[in-house]
Amino acid sequence: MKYIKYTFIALFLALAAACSNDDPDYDHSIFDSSAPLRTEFDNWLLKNYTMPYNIEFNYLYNDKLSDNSYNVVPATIENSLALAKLIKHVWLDAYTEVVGDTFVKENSFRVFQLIGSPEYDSQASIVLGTAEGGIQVTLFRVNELDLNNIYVNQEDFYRSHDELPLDLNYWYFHTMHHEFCHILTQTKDYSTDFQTITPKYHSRDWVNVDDKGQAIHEGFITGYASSEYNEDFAEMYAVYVTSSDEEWNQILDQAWVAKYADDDQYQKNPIPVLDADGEKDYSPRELILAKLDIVRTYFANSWGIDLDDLRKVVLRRSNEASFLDLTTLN
Amino acid sequence: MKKTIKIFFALTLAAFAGACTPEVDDVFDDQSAIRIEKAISECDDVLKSAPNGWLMEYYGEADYGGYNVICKFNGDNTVTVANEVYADGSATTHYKLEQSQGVLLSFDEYNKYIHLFSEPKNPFNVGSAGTGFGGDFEFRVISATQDTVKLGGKKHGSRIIMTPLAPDADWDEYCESAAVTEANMSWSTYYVVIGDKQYMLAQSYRTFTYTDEAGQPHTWPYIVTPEGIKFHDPVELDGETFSYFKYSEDHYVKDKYDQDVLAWYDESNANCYLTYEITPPSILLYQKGFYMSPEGASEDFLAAFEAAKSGSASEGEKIGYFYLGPNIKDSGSAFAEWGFQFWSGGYVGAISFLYESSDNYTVTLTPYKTGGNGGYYYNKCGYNTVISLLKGTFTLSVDNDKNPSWIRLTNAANPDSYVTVYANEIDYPFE
Repeated sequence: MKYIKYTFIALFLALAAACSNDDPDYDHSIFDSSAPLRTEFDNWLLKNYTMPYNIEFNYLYNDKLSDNSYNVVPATIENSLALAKLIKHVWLDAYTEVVGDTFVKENSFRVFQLIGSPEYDSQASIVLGTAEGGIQVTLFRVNELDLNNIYVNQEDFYRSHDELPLDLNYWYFHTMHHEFCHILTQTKDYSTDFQTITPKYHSRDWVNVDDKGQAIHEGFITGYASSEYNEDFAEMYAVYVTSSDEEWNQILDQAWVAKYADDDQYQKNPIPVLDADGEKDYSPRELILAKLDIVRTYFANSWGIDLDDLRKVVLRRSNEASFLDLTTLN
Repeated sequence: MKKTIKIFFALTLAAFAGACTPEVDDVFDDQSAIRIEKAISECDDVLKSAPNGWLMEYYGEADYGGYNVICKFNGDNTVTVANEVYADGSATTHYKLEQSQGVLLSFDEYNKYIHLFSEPKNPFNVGSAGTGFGGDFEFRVISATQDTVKLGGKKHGSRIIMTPLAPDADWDEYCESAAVTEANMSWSTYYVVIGDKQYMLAQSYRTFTYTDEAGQPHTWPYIVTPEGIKFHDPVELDGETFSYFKYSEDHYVKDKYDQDVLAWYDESNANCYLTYEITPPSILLYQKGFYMSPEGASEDFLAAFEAAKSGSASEGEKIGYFYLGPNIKDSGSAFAEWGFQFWSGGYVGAISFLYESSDNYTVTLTPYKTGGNGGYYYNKCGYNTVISLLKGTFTLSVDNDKNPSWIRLTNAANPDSYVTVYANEIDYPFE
């Protein structure tokens, strides 16, 4: 009986020691709750990206948001400002105009990260902008923008991508529309009929499928579209929405069945297959248009977006890009 | 007996109670979050404490050596940077200090004076596309005192030391006098002399490479100060250690061609000095490797380069380099002899030449065998046209006799046929 008493006393002591509290040191917080030092540009971004759309626009280099396997350099503030204004006018506000700001606030990327140089891979080829899981989009080559030569390609879909001045459509806006499409289709799915139209996809071999030499003749809008149906859908959307009528017709004009000479192993020089009357076979064109139809229906039914309305607004705003004042904050 | 058991029991319970308390003694006297905040603020104070800025002995990839970068940290989160590569001017941009496994100093707004070394492709074509100089612009602060700041590159691990610049020193003048010293110490062939032994060095950018008797190369990166050549780490050779060869015009010795040459001593070891020889171009071309380029090539050579480029392209390859010289560093015994060596899409090969020189400015080249993939590219990829143009007797001309950055081979029988080869590595010359 006495032992029980002692046991209880010992237990009580142990518990008492264990229960002594470590209170937080309320007087010494390491979190600085005062407002950070903001430049004029920071305030402009707060007003035009963060407050209306809950978007964080990072122009200074942030190692935690960059891919460690590449060597890159930060962007200049001058070009970051210009790109921030361009993206707002040509991309963000296009969606706001057509669908409304709530839609943008709910679905857009949350983080934009700018990088000054390209990312070169081991073969000295350049990586395009990347988008991570619908949260962040990283845009490269910002330092190469020539502010006196803002160019958004509206004439030649098959212009070489490396030609200067850089085509902002290819290097920035197309990628953003493409990745944004993925965000939307991950939220609301599209018809599985899409996969049946051009069922033979190239998967990882898409890198060898040339846009003009091969892809279009198989009914794929670009080489990347030929990799798998999800990319095909996003490419259809991004290309349609950023192509002028001239470019769209140029693409459809290329959509004939092709064959290749025996020594054309990279399939860069397609030869039209002619029928008995000497006419080209435009069946790939029908495949493209059928896929476009599904894209159009999806956006109308799932999001209430008229694809052609959106396209008109995007094209109009792209044309306005070269007239924007990209150096002053207003 | 009962008492013993009672005491024993009480002691056990007391021990038990002691063991069950979760208290652990603190190792540090403050919490980690507070300590890092303090460290960051102290570091910022140190950085701002140098009134005339810091001299940064900047190293990217060891293969390129060190460069003088000067930076002054201003009070408003900006830093002003200048370097010796861009001879004048400076730029002021944003920097930050934050926590990342210790204190991290980051130059996070583009500043060409520091980001030159991190550009994946720089305007001087140093390094390959995607790597460039292989330099960092984010550094872990290893230690920071008013006399020295030691930095470690975050991505590439380069070790960089910063010392405060003298309060009355002029930035441009410092860089200019370093450039003058470098020009004065610039020759094509160097030797380190220890006692009566001479060790020949190969030079590339700001590194010296010594190849020992076993064929093992040892590369020593260095930076040039107004006073001389300072190695990144002290070098041990033949039982002696040296680290800083100071320029002087006091001591002359004779080179192997019986010319008067200067000897530069290490500041703390009188047993070793750095010297050079005045190498004739015909010997230099044989000893050192030179890279081919379409620049400074005549029409027939340009056409031959085109044929080779198409040949490689038909294999889906790009030509990484065309080289004339002795065994290039990464190749095996198939390249042991002097000749034409190439890299195409990952494949390497050589065509060896017999090399005869009758005087300082004349050589006769005769191709005689292939090595590695040399035969394949010679027969199937149109490299034979380049080789046929390299056969014959050539007159050599250089841009300067001390340390040529290029040598032009002009065909003696047909002066309209010539090609220029360059001392610095040229990657992807035909892209």
